[in-house]
Amino acid sequence: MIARRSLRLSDRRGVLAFNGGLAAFRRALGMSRFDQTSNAEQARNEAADWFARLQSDETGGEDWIAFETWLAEDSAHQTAFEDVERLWLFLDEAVKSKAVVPSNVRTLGDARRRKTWPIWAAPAAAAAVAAVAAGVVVLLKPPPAPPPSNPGQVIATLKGERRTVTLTDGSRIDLDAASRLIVYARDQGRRVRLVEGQAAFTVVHDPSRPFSVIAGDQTIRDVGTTFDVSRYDQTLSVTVQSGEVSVAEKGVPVAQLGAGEQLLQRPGAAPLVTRTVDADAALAWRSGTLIYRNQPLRTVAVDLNRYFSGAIRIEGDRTAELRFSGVLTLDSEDAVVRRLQAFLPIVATRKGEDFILRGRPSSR
Amino acid sequence: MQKRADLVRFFTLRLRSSEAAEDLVQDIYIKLKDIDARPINDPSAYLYRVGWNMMLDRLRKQRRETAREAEWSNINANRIAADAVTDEPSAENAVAARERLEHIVNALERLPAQTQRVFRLHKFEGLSQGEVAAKLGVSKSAVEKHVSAALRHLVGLNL
Repeated sequence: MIARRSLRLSDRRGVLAFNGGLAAFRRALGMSRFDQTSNAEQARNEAADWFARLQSDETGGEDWIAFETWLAEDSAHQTAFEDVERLWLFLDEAVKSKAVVPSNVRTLGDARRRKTWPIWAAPAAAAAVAAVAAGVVVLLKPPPAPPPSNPGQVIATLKGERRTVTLTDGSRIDLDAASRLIVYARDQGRRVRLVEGQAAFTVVHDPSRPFSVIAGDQTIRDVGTTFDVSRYDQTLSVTVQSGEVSVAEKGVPVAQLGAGEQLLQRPGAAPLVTRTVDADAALAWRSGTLIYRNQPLRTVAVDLNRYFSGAIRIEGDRTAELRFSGVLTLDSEDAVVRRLQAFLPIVATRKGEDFILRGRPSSR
Repeated sequence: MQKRADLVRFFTLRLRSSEAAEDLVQDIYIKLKDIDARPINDPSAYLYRVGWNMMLDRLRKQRRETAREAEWSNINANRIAADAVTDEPSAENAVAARERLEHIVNALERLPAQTQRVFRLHKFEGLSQGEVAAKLGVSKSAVEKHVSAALRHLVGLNL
């Protein structure tokens, strides 16, 4: 059994050694002044990108979700967004009060606009004209930033669908059925947010651009590894197949996991649980197989309901608690239900598209 | 109902108040009752959009009220007979607002011509991003990028 390393604040020494020193640790927590400045700037830029996106005519449902995710990620994001919004509302008032009027951009060649030129703005505009006439380009600030980066790419799967995505750095993400995540590629790091569902990450190590997965309050950071993160009904689980990952909660390191270790967090602020598991089994879903060792039927049913269109329902508490051990190949719902009947004392009844599982009387 | 919970969560985060969010979401559904025709291709985005526009309207109204309150307190402090309250900011505020606006207009002029054009059409003439795209013969995503570049520039100056 591999030694567990659950870390508390007082155990930070272990994290420091792991992360390669104090400077790296401070950077990871965004503590140096330089980082704070550039983070604020980055937050502002992203806020502007989001504002423009949400003002567009074609904001889709996924955009709103991705925006919410971004907003929740960091209080600096919220502040930056409010700054952009205040600017926007201020300009609304200016337009409404006729303090600013359409356009003094001559290239549009619209005479109507010049008539309504704001008197108070005239000196500024005149100065600009003078500057242009003299062939002088006034550039107090560096040219505007290049076109904004995508605020994050949403990758989602439907029920029964599995997807594999290879990122430009060669890292691979396997996304399980009915799952959704957002990929942010940035200069200083690679970040993925798992909004819901399950995904397995095979990460190409790059010390200059750490790879982190954010799920709820937890951030999982890798050191070149394969691991699985799932988030269902507020229950978070992180399973490491190879390599090591560190897990931080609200920026505070809470655990390090090695191969074959799993971290579980259930709702209700229960403490994090670390345990040893069969990681290969936990990641078997990638090849279309579910492997169970002594799991209640209710867990199996919840999993299967992500893969098949017909709902699998269980009748009776006793039935739900029946223990199942075995390998289920996710070929067809009929076949899977048949196999469950062969392994467990249950009877399956078809009802339209759905299946109802009942404990056999003899199992009492 | 799940959608409703999603909206409340979204606006709670956005408005930093679950009370204001509940209130807003309530009004979204009231408003939707009065509307017969609704797009069916992306109903969830439509709910967010309706809520978002209502939120911006409320924020605008709040700002006007705050400005009015500030004006009132000024007047009382200076013991000047109160005139009818209008939407116009007080003289002092007006000067500050005008200066701020002047800075913004100046800052805009330092942007590339096309970015200025797009931003002015969208923000000052009230054209939607799609309308701006059609008018200038560019793609909608190009318009979005120009709007974003202008906002980045302006908000970065802290005006």
